[in-house]
Amino acid sequence: MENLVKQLISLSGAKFNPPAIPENIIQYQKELAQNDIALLPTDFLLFLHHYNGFAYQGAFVFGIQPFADYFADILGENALADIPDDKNIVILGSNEYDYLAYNTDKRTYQILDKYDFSVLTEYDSGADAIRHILRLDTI
Amino acid sequence: MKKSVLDKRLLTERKVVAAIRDKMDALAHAQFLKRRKRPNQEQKRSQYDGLSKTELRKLKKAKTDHLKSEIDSFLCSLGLTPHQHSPSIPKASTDESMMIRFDFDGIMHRPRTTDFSECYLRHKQLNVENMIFEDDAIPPLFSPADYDLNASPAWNKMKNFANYRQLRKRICRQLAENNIPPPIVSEMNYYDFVDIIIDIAKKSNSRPFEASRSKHLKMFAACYGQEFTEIMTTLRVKPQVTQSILANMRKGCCCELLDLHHKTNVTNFKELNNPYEINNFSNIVLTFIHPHHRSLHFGNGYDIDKDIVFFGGYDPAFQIRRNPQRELEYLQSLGQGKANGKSR
Repeated sequence: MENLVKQLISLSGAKFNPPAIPENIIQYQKELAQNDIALLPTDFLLFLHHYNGFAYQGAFVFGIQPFADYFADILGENALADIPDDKNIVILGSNEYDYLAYNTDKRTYQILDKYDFSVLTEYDSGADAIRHILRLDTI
Repeated sequence: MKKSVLDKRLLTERKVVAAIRDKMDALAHAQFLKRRKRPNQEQKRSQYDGLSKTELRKLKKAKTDHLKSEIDSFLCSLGLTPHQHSPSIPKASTDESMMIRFDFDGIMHRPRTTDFSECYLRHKQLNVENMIFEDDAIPPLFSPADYDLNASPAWNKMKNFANYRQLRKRICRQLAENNIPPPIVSEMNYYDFVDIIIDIAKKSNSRPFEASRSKHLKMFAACYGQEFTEIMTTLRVKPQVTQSILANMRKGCCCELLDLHHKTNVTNFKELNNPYEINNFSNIVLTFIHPHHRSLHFGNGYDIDKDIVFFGGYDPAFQIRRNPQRELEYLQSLGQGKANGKSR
């Protein structure tokens, strides 16, 4: 994740929201649970400690109640995405045609087709999954 | 159009944009707002407290359905048509989806071991021990001429994209370098080819091809830069911002406010007369992200006029229509004839 953060710092034209506050993250996890949405995975929490929302060339990593309107909120985006009832999934980002999701059952990050929610690929590492959704090479 | 008329239309456009944003925000919060803890719960009890989980779920569903139908009616009234997918037309398979994305974005994702075909993986692993030697230490077993890529069903799909087609010779050379036996080609899948393309890129230390996205942004800036500037001026965008957006586009990059949208959805690419024109300029529209692009993806997606190349507003005054002649002249100026232009 540290390497990803270093890589993101160097991206020109990227927009980011300041880090999330730990207490807010804890509270937010409770809200996710109350709303039957999977909890945020550990390495994504690390990402939130650096960026509570990140945008690059039309691709987004969502945040937890980000201050600026421009960055999307995880709870709200999960509502808008209208994913068929699946308590094991939390959507964490999107680009033109894909969602970045975490599947707690399989313990993997998944790239889902926005249109039919089919799984296009999976990652064990949160960093590579975030690279994928932000359209950065994962090699 | 007179400035006063345009200003009036801009006012209406802004109201429309605000209304769509509001409705989308309302939908995003409808399911959850009542479940968020309030700072002082003792004093402010929610009207939904005391409802069972099932009752609450039903209520949420009713609320969201109502909001969705409101957004749908609103978008339809603005001239957008909800996309109707015919069940008889198959959706893109996973490898087709990835193939289209790779051509469009040019982003390299190393396939997982489980993605490779069995025979390719076996030979790839066999060659691992040779990797420690100098390039010319082991005489090549095969020559590039030994490879008939057309024997692979995966390649026969890939070659429909100009970006992959132009790599044919380099792929054959790389296959020979990697000591992949020519008979294996017929069983190679899309991910095997991606692995070879990544090897090509690593060897040359450069991108294997220019992404369609980048080519389209350059083409947009060259063909429609003037109209784009005029619309952005009408939308009261700062001139320096518009110029910076255009400068980025000329380098093949997008800014944070705009994105390219496929008019026919990538998943439904087989709906096109020629499905492999999915990433062509004719199927792409440049649009603002929020709420324009989001509204085009709302629900099952919305269809817009195929001739629009810039969707800068719901009002046609803020849209640009295609000029095929100008596009052809641009392609010719790049030394690409009509035939090549078609496959972009």
